[in-house]
Formats: sequence, C-alpha cells, structure tokens
Amino acid sequence: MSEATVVIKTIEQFRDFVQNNNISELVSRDAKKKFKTFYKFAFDELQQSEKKEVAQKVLDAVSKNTNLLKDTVEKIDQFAKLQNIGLVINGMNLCATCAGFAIMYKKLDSMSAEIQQQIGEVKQILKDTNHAQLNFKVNEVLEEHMDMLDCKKKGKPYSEEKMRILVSEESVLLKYLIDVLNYNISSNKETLIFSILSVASMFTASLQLFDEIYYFNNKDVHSAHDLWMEVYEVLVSNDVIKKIQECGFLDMNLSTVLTDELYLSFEEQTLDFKKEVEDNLKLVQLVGNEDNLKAFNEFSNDTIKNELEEAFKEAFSQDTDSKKAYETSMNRVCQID
Amino acid sequence: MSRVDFVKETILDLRSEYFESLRDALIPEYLTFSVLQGSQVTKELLAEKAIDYFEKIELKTGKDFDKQVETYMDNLDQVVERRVARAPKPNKRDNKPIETPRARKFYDRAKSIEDLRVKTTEQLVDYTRIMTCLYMSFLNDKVKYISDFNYSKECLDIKAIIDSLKKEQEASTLGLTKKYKFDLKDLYCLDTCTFILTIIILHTIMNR
Repeated sequence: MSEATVVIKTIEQFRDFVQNNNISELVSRDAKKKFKTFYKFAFDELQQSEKKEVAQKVLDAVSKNTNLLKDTVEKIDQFAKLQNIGLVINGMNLCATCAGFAIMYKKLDSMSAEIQQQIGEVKQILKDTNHAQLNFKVNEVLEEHMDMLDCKKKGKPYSEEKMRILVSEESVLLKYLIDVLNYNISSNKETLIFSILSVASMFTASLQLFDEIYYFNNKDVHSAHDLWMEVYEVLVSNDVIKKIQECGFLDMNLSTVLTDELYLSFEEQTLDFKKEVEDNLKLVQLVGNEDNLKAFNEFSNDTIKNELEEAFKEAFSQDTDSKKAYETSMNRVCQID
Repeated sequence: MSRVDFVKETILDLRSEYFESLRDALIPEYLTFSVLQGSQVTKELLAEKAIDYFEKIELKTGKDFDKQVETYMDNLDQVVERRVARAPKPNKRDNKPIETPRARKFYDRAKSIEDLRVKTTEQLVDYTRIMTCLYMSFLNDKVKYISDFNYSKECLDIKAIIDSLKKEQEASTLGLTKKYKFDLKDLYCLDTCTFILTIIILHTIMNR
C-alpha cells in the first residue's frame, strides 16, 4: 500500500475514493498511531439507493428460509416440522446478548435433562477416548453463559480464567452433542439439531469474548484457540452432514427439497459462526485495545441500527410482516448491551 | 396425479437455463416439431407437447397417467434395488445391533412412496432424487453393491444416467443371450415414456 499523502481541495476529488458500495470510511488515530474513531460517509444522492439495498439485503437474509417454507406449506402436510426448522435456522446468533439468549435459554433449559441423558450414554460408549471427562451438567453451562452475559451487560468483572473455563466447557458439550448425533443415540433428532446449533451459537459468542479478553490482557492468541476452532470443521464434516441428511429425510420425514434446505442451512450457519470468530479476532488484533474495540462496536452498531431503521421506515411503514422482520433483524445484530 | 398438473409443476416451473437443457435433451430425440426449430420452442409449447405425448401413450397402451407413473417408478426400482446392499443377517451368537446400510435406509424410504396409492409431483420428485442418486453412486463407485451414497443433487449427471439406463441389460429366460432392458424403438411405448419422465424430473430436481 502507498504511503503518499493525497491533498483534497474539492468535494469532487473525494468521489475517486468512494468504494463499490458507495460508502467510504475515514479513521482518525491517537498519539500512539492506534485507531481512535471510525467515520462512515456517503454522498447524499447515493445514500437513498444504498438504504434500499440494505433493506432488501436484510429482508432477503431474514426471509430466505421462511419463503421457501411458505411456498411448500401448501403442498405438504408437515407444517409443525417446518416451524421447528424455521426456529432452528432463524434462531441463531442470539447467544451474544441477554435478550437474545433468553429466547434460546428457555428452550434449551427445558431440554437439558434429555440432553444430559444422551451425553451420559455417549460417555459410556466413549470410555476410552480422549474426551475431557468434565462432570458438568448441561443446565449449569447454560446458567453460566447467562451469568457471563449479565456481567458484560452490567459492566461487572468476569475473569479471563472463568471465561476460558466457559469456552472449554461449551466446546466439550458441543463435541458430546456431535457424538450423540454420530452414534444415533437420540430418538428426537429435531431437538438434537436444535441443541447442536444453539450450543454452537453460545460457543461462538463465548469464544469471541474470550479472544478479546485474552488478547487485550496478553497481546496474544490463546494456545488452545486453533483446537477450539476445529469443532467447526467437525460440524461441516462429511460424517455430520450425512447424519443431518438422514435426520431430515428419514427421521423428520421431510421432502428432499426441505432436507436440502436443512443440511445446507446447517452447513452455512456453521461456516458463518466460524467466520464470525475469525473476523472478530482479526478486528481485535487490529484495534489493539478494549477502548478502541468498544468505540468501533458502538459506531458500527449505531450505523447498522440507523440504516435499518431508515430503510424500513422508508419502504415499509405499515406492513406488519416487515415490522416483524425488522424486529428479528435487530435481534440478529450482535452487540453487547 | 393429472398429467397437466405434473407438467405445470415441472416443465412450466423451470428457470431458463434448465428449461433450455431440458428442451435440448427432449428435442428431437423424443419429441419432435414439424415446423418449429428446437430453439423456437417455448416452455408453454413444450408443456403442451408433453401433455399430448402422455395422452397418446394412454390411447396406445390403455394406461392412464397414474399407471404410466407406476411403470416409471417400477422401472427405476428394477434397475436400482439389486445394486443396493442389504442389511446383514443377524448372527445368533453375536448380540451386536444390526446396522442397516445408509443406502438401503434411503432406498426403503423412497420405496414407501412407490407404495402410496395417490402420489403428488413432490413425492415423485423425491422418489426420483433418491433412486437416481443411488444409481449415480453405483456408476461412480463401480462396485457390485453400494452401502453408502452421495445424497447431494450436485452429484447427478443427467446425461450419464440416461446413457447408462439405455445400456441396462437383462438376461433372457434361457440365460444365453442378453437383451437391453429398455426398448426405445417405439416412441409411444412405456419404456420411452420412462425415459421422458426421468429427463423431465431430473431437470426439475436440478432446478430447485
């Protein structure tokens, strides 16, 4: 990258630096040359179409799965199962905020006894494996995750060591659930897929937060980080994807179209989780300290919120379905309250 | 299932790239137009032609569209079933649970569709998807029996499946000479109808 300074005398000269999405960024640095503040700007005549594009992208992302389900509801008699798939696929990315996690927590907590029993059976089968034999209970992990989010929300201390233990426990819990799937132990496959994606979502949120705490304290990445990341590769491995296909077509009696939707969405969601962690770590390493990260997150969240609000107000002021889609999309913006 | 509904839910539902591929696969080998060039045939024209074809099959063979579909499913089953590994027989001395091969599990589920009295286009698509994925795995793996298979529709090669089906043989009753399973000399016969249905449904699967 060139270090030459460009002298701008007119607003027209700025247009040469406008990015493909018509929105550009300015950043100011502090005395130590670290990033201080990010500014996003757009030329006014471009902003209207950009807002509509954002609105359309949000609508497409939110309704991607539900539209397909709606089209086929009239054709097949599996509406209850479709609603559950919708919950599974659309309910992700809720585990980074208290409000979002509360939705997931309620369902997971009600299933914790069943999950615990299945894990017990897997532990019996895997006596000689190298799985960490942690004596945890599923609902304790859920409560600990909630406690961690609560501490973050209220600005209470949550130590690096406690965070590391939480990440480790969630990683082990996720691996056990994958084993439940691979060993065909669960009689309720639909619940199991939901559990796997939910715990993966929790794990993703926790790992991101741990990466931040650890890097800011130690200016390094934890030595177990790559090991924890391997779980995403396991989730999209051939063995697991085949099991998801079997769950869909054989156990849930879905059509081939819906089975495709199930396993492809599962795969896509997992890869999104992985990318979130990777992108977050890059950002953490870039901004360097907690204050910079906080400022960046606040700016990004405000920008996204404002753009979403403007886009929806402009395009859909009275439409109730779109209002609901707007609320769902707001929940999907990952932020620490 | 009516032939009109079937055609509406398959041919008329295709996006342009899959419609053009279907048109090239059917014209002129199976369906012909006296005046129009193949490239001039629209979705609606091809749909009408297909409906007329199924009607002619009914007039010639006496089998309505439901019976034509039954024959189609039975033909696919005869080609696929003998190549899918069966579950091993239980060993009385051994208490280990019997694991049914994955391919057989999917085959059995697809077979349950064939047993339904009334079938929808969606069910026919599901049946074809599983049977052709199993057949494709057999073609790719080159083994006598398949115990696992690739469920993804990306594995389907329509041309390879059709070419291979054309070469399928069955032994004569004397076990001396082998003849081809499907006789495609007559356009208006159930064997050719099977091929036309296979081609239409495979394009529908790829389109979704």
